[in-house]
Amino acid sequence: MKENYFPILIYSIVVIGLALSFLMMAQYFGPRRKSKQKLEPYECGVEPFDSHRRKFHVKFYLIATFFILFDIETVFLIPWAVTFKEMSMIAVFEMFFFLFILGIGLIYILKKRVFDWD
Amino acid sequence: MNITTLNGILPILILTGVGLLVLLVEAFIERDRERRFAFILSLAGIIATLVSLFSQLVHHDADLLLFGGALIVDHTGLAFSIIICLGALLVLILSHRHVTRIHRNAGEFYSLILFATLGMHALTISNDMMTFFVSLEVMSVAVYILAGVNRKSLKSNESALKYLILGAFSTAFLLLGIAFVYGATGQMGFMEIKEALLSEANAPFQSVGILGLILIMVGFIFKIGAFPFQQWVPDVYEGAPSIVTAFMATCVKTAAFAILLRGLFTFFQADESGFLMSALTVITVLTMIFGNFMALIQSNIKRLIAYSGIAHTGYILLAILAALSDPAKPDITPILFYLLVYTLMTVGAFAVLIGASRGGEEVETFEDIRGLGYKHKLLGLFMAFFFFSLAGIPSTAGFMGKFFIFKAAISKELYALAVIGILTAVVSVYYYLKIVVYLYLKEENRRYEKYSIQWNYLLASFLTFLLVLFLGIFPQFGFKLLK
Amino acid sequence: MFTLQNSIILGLILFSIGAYGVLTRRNLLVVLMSLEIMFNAVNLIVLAFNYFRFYQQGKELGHYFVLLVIAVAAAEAAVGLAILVTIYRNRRNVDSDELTEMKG
Repeated sequence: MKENYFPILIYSIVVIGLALSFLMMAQYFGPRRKSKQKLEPYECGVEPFDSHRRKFHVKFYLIATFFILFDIETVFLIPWAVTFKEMSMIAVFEMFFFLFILGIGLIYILKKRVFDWD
Repeated sequence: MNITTLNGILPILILTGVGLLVLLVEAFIERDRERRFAFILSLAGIIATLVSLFSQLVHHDADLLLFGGALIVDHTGLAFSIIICLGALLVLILSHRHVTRIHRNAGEFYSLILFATLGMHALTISNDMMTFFVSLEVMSVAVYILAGVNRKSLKSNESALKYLILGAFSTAFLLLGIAFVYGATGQMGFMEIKEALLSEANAPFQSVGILGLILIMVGFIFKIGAFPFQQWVPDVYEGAPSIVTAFMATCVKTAAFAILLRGLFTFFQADESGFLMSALTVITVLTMIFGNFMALIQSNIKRLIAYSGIAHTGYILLAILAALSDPAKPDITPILFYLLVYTLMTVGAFAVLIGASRGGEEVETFEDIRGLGYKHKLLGLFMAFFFFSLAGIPSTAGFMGKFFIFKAAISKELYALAVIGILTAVVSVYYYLKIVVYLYLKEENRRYEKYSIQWNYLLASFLTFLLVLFLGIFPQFGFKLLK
Repeated sequence: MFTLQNSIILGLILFSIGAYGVLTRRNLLVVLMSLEIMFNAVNLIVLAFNYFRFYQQGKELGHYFVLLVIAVAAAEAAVGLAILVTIYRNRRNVDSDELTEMKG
């Protein structure tokens, strides 16, 4: 059991070591000349027009919340999809019943205009 | 899926179907008609559920195990479910018209009540850690939303958030307990867990299982709001809209007691050290004392009802202790009777409180009800009666409920507990009578002038009044119903 | 290294971190995240028990239970976030110290 994980340990030590050494090298050997342009958030030339602490529209939160819910339902779909051939027709019926209930939820939030902007 | 199974889960199917239908009605029918339609639909749904529960209870001859033992349709579960549905029905009647004052969409409110009732019913008949957990959460999540249903009110928001965070916190402990019990036994069904805990082969994991049971108990003590974990009760009850408070104080509590009772009866024999029982005794005593004495110093009526609700939890725990001390032939009718009466009295008291409120303002403090008894003779009479009954004045149903509990405790030789119970009940008379005194104080409050009460408040309070009066005079009918 | 005991200790450590977060953090979003940590710590413990004690016997109840817990935790998180959004709309911050509408 333990032997299986030994390569992973070596691998992670190497990866972390490499990353750290690159950072250190940049810190010690790289030249630094600060200028106004360089200290801007976007070096490629886009002028920042606002603070980065912008307020998001509250719709983003709503949609994120619905994403959590509908996303998690796949937790039930995947085991069902793997095994439904071995189960009886009732399993198929039950999953469609589950999806039907989810669908009613979806219709409800659509009718409530959650996804309409403005 | 045969006909017996279908009949067994009929209440669940009805509640799910009607709940979804009410949501669709709200989504598709325009505002003015939607409200009445959703109301009638959900009322019909709850009544249909009640009828199907009654028919199951009447035709009940043997315990029915469904889905490989995940659900058990037995007498106790059905009796608890009937009490819950009765409470939900009264809350629904009360919420007509009132609901639009606290929330824009009536349909949402009704369907949440239906889903919460669905969770409660599933909770009372669950016989398996998984169904138990899922139905507990169906109930809890619906009630979290209900507590915050008044989106504009900061109090309601705060109450919902407090309830959610503390509820989820206690659920996490409950889950940890289930994880340990599962780890010790490898089973999820209540009966299988009990057998595995008692079997010799499992001895090395016995202590893990007991630890799990204790953690589950901690989660439960939170849910019923008993002593060490009761701080959330007054805040949540005060902040939530009155109608939701009525629902939480009665139905949620009844459902939690139903599953607590099932769990205790199944598992307490597995705990050979007797730790669960002695812990429960201490909790009972402290809950009765704490609830009653904290209620003494409240000036807000909703907080007072919350603290006195904690005290009532203590009395019901006393009845559970009495029933547990005779495991061969447990007598749970005092518990059922008390919960039935408590549900009726509390919903009745809230019906009057809600009926007396105007506009967005809710009746909350003692000053708000000053002189109410003169302005609204009928409402005042009902309210005085409900508070007399909550206090346990003889000849009311509340008295009969307390009487049967103390009788059971004394017959099981729990003298010390019974004496503490009676003494704290005497304390409770003081603060309940204080409300009645304020009702009939001379200095009248202008707010009640030229104001008519709507039919549904009157209907709900009249119904509960009749039932409480009836059960107070003929308690044996209640017993027969629940037996 | 990868044993029943260690997995359960890891789960209990995560659970305690979550509980500590719920009790001490003032930002309510972090509190909700701590609750998720608690739920997932329990999932870890159930899975560890299932894997080390019962999986060889062909029992896998623990797996189903974990699926249910994940779904329920998601529902709870969604409701919690929705309530937070309403609170934010009403008072423009989500600091638990400022939630003091009720006293007594």
